[in-house]
Amino acid sequence: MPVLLVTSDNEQFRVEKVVAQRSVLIKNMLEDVGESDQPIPLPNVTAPVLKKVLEYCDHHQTDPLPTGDEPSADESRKRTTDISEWDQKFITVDQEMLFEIILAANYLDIKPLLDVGCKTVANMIKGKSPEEIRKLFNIVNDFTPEEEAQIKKENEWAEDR
Amino acid sequence: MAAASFPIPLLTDALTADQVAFIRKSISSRRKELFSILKILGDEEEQSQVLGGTIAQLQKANQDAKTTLLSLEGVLNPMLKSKKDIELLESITRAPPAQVPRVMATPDEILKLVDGQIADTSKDLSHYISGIKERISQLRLSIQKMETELYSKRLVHAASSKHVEDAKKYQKMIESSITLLISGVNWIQGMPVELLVKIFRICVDKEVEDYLDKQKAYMKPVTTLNLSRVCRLWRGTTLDERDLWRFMAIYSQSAWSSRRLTMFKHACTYKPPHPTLAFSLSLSNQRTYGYDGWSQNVTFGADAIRLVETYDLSIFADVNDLSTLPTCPFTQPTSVVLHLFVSVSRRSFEGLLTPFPNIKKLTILCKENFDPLSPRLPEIQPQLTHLTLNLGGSISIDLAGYLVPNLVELHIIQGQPSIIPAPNPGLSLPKLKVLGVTPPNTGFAHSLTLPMLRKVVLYGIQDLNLSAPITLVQFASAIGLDKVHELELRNWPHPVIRWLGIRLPGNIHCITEIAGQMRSIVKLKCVESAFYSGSLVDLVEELTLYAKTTATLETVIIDRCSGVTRADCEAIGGLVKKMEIYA
Repeated sequence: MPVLLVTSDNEQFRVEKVVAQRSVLIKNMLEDVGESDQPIPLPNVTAPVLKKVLEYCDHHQTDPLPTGDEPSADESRKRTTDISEWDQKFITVDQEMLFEIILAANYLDIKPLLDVGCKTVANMIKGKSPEEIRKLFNIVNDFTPEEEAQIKKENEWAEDR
Repeated sequence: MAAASFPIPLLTDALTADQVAFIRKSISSRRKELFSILKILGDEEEQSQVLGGTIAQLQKANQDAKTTLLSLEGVLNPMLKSKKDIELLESITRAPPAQVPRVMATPDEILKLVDGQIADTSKDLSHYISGIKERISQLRLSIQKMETELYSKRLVHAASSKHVEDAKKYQKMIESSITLLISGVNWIQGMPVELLVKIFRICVDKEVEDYLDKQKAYMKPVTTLNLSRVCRLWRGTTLDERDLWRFMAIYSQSAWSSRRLTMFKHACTYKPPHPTLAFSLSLSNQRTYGYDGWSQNVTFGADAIRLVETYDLSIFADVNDLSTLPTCPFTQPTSVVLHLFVSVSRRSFEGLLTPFPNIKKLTILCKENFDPLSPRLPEIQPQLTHLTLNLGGSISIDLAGYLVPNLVELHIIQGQPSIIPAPNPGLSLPKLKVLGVTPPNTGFAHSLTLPMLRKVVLYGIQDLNLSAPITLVQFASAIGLDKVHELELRNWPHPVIRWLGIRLPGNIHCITEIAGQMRSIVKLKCVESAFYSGSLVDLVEELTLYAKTTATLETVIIDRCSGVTRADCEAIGGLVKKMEIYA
């Protein structure tokens, strides 16, 4: 049975229940409401973002659902920044969309998608200097001169190899 | 495309939330516009494709018609020529008849006959010609119509193509403007702190992963430092998450890499809540880099580590250089781990600990022949609450010098059985809640008064020794196990675990004896121990049977233990309310 989702900009998406239920938030809502034709409002997600999120959910609809158990140290180590080929292609979007997807995944409680988003950002940060990170994300250097002096000192230590 | 060539303004001030919201709204409306354009483009392209197909079909039909026309004209021309010939022949046959003899048919009669035949042929030919002409005329009309239609379709197709081209240009323009709007904004700023922390953790974990996988001994862990130097928000966030700092380290000698690796592995596996700063006091380290360079490195590291309020300090010390430590600027660690490789005198040992007036947790890891003479910890470190003595070889220490009255946890772990002399009787540790001991050396506990003791940790040792269960029974009766809520078995190897089930001289059953005294036990925890099938079930049965007079064993935790079968787990599950298993 399809589920009707309504975005913050009033776009409607009719999707299969199995796809929609990749979101723990929607799954819980459906369980609370029971069988109903009522549309599910998603006030924190816009149509273009939901379209992307549903594309992910559709592709991963047969994946086992995360159990909530913490992975073992080895498993989590192996998976630190690994992203599958499809996911990599899927998440190749502009920064605004990337962070919107992360926020939506967090709101909709889709852990694997949240992980993919966060890993992507971590990969972008990896190996970069603070200045490169600032440039990458348009972050303004807002340190006071005193803080700058302290940072300079730390910097000397960090670069003394 | 023109929009993309605009220079991106350099931000000197962060955008306000309202400005970001406005830009976000603009992007959203531009995206909607883009969405409509793409839809129109899709429709137009589909229509254009259909039109292209129709034009191709029309062109083919037109070509076919023209070919047919040509071939019809090719047929018509000889027919017209034949008709002309026939008409000429007809004019000849209709000439006045000449006088011919009457023997046979008269020439007139023959001519009449021929004339009739010619007339018939001419009539047929005229009929064919007229049909072909009609067909040709129809074809010409049809070709004319087709060409008109083709022309109009081509016009529509050209217009549609132009439309698609314009729409594509517009699409590119919108995309460029979206890119421009996006590129000027710090989008990561909108992330909630918990997501920012999640991203930072992945970065730090990746750094450890690289270190462990690739053994980058030269690598200095700077990810967290780099993150803390980006902006005030990131600095505040990293400083609030102390576990991000767990890989701080100062090191400089290659021979030390195995120690560093151990530290990193520990940090990776256990993720301690405090950052760990490790450094070596060895003389060779100083000789290699020169005292000034080494000292400078330490000083910088100490400054860097001041970013966080508390941290663990791991010191790898050789005896000859213990005087260096007081000059090091480490004054704020709450936890210190001392790795001692040689014996140190009491004075050196006390000097080693002097720079740390705030430590709450002290761990001393002694290799082989460590023999510190009573360090008078109650006097020099009265604030200590947690003390762990990990004695490597057959080391005997004067325990009284370590027993700070403030202690909440005390662990004495021994690799080899050796007797630690009991301190004078009547020594009280009024706050001690957790006591860890290694059988059989538990006799010292007889002298202690432990009114608040709630948890006992029994560390396993490698050698089977009959005296161990006996001392354990004595230990149990001496410290008053009746108020202990929790029993933990840690690092028990396979053959030694049998001790607990052993029947002692005088028909005393070791575990029964201990369990009989643990009237308040609610939790049993087994950590990194090896059981044989059924042994853990026996242990739990004893504890539930003999301890249930005043309390019931409610929880069993099995943490990284081997030899516990599924049947064991099911049996234990039937005996207690809660069971936790960690692989």
